[in-house]
This record gives sequence, C-alpha cells and structure tokens, in this order.
Amino acid sequence: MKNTILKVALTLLGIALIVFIYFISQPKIDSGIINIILVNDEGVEVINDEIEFSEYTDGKKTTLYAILEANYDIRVDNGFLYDFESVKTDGVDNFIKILKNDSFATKGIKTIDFKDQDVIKFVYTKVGDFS
Amino acid sequence: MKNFKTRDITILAVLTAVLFAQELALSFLPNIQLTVLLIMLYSRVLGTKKSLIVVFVHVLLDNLIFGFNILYFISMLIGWSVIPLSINSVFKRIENVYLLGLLGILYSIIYVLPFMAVNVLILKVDFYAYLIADIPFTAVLAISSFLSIIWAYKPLEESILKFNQIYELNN
Repeated sequence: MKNTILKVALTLLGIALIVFIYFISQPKIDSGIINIILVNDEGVEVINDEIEFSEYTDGKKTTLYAILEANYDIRVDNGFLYDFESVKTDGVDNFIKILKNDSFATKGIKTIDFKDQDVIKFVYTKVGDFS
Repeated sequence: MKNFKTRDITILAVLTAVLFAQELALSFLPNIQLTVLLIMLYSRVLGTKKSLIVVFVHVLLDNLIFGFNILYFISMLIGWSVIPLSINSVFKRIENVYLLGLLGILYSIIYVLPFMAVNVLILKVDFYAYLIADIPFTAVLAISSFLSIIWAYKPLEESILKFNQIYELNN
C-alpha cells in the first residue's frame, strides 16, 4: 500500500514537472518587426523581407510558423520545414537550416523564440556540408 | 549468428517490433517513450549480446523511417547501447525498482550526450544554446523513463521471465 502511494505521488510530481516544462518551453513572442531572409541552393539571397508581427495572430499566440504561413508558400511536415517558396528540400539529403541572428537555431519554426529586430535566416543546406 | 536458432531470431524480431512500435505510437508526445524501460528489461532478460542486436535493428529501423543520417545513427546507437553494456556489468546488482528508475534517468541523460557532441563539435552549434534548448526534452525523457520503470519494470520482468522459462530466451 505504502509503495503504491509513493508511486502515485512520484507520478503526480512527474506529470506536474512535465506540464511545467511544457509551459516554460513555449515561445515568448511580443510584437515588432523581424527580418526574414531566404538563401537558395546557389547561396543567393532570394528573399529579404521585414515583417511586422504582434503577440497574437488570428486569436492564437504568434509563432514563426504562423508568420511564414501567412506570408509565404511553405511546406511543413511534423514541425519540420521542407519547402520555402522556390527552395525545396527532402529533409534527408538536404534541409533548410534556420539561423537566428547568425546563430544556429536549436528549435523548429513552431517553437522558436524571437523578438523585435531579430533576423531569421533560412539557408538551403546539404547534409554533410557543415560549413 | 551460428548459435542462433530460428526461435531466437523470431523472438528478437518480435521484441524489436514491440520496441519500435511503442516509439512510433508515442511519437506525437515529444520524448515520452518506453524505450529506456524496454531496453533495460531486454538487457536483463536476454543478456547483453542479444540486446545489442535488438538495439542495432531498432536504431536502423528508426533511421530508415525518419531519414538516414550517419551522425545521428551513430549517436543513437551509442546512446542506446550503453544500456545493455552497463546494466549487466557496472549496474548488475541493482534490483530495487526505484534505483532502476534512477538508472533510467541516468540513461536518458547519457543518451543525449552523443547528440550534443555531434551538434557542438561537428555541426558547430553553440554549446549553451544547444544545452538550454535540449534540457526540456531530456527532462521529459528522464521523467517518462523513471515513471515507466517504477510502474512497469517488475510486472513486465515477471511476464518475460515466465515467457523465458517456456522459450529459454537467455540460453
């Protein structure tokens, strides 16, 4: 009996921790202007736009995904950005690398944080090309 | 493979399928999976050699389904192989379910280290950026591993041991 109570208590604590982690890892988006840059497979900058955003888009919290979807032709599958306008990737031999203020972004377009004046760069990248 | 009977290969295939199927079934919940629990269990019941085969096939399937990348293939293989290699040697005496749960947390942390090394050393991702971004995912993997082990390890172990008596899995 004591053992079961301990397991239930640990489980509740674990679930609470997972919920807490979920909420603190949600992107914190305010409002402002971001610079969207797209570089194709030849290294040419094909898009360089400044886009205004606010905290909410269509009543929902704004994400980079929502901004891209509203302004560009994109293909996203399971949170992974495959195509962006003329830049098409297969996600296996090539992919779209995301840089935020010239640093490699470690989150996808649905969860990445950004703020006013951030520069988000999308670069066609071949797997194995680590330059 | 010369000592492997058809029965052994079939059982390994079924256990690998269970391992892979649960990962696919839970893939809509980021990093909530029973992989650590099952690999720990297989390692104890099947032994190191057979568990390493299960791990290899699982990692290969994972990469074939989600896209093959040699760097991630190797990282994943190292991350999961640590379990069979250590649980039957360094952690051989641990039987208490809560200690096994803590071991599950340790294995979850060890699992992410090869990925971190690849991202930081080869892909040149900023170490602190990667660490901060990865902490929530590692924490969720560790918590789900701990909880699944404290609830399911012993009942599953009993079931597999009964199965083992019938089919002599670890011979």
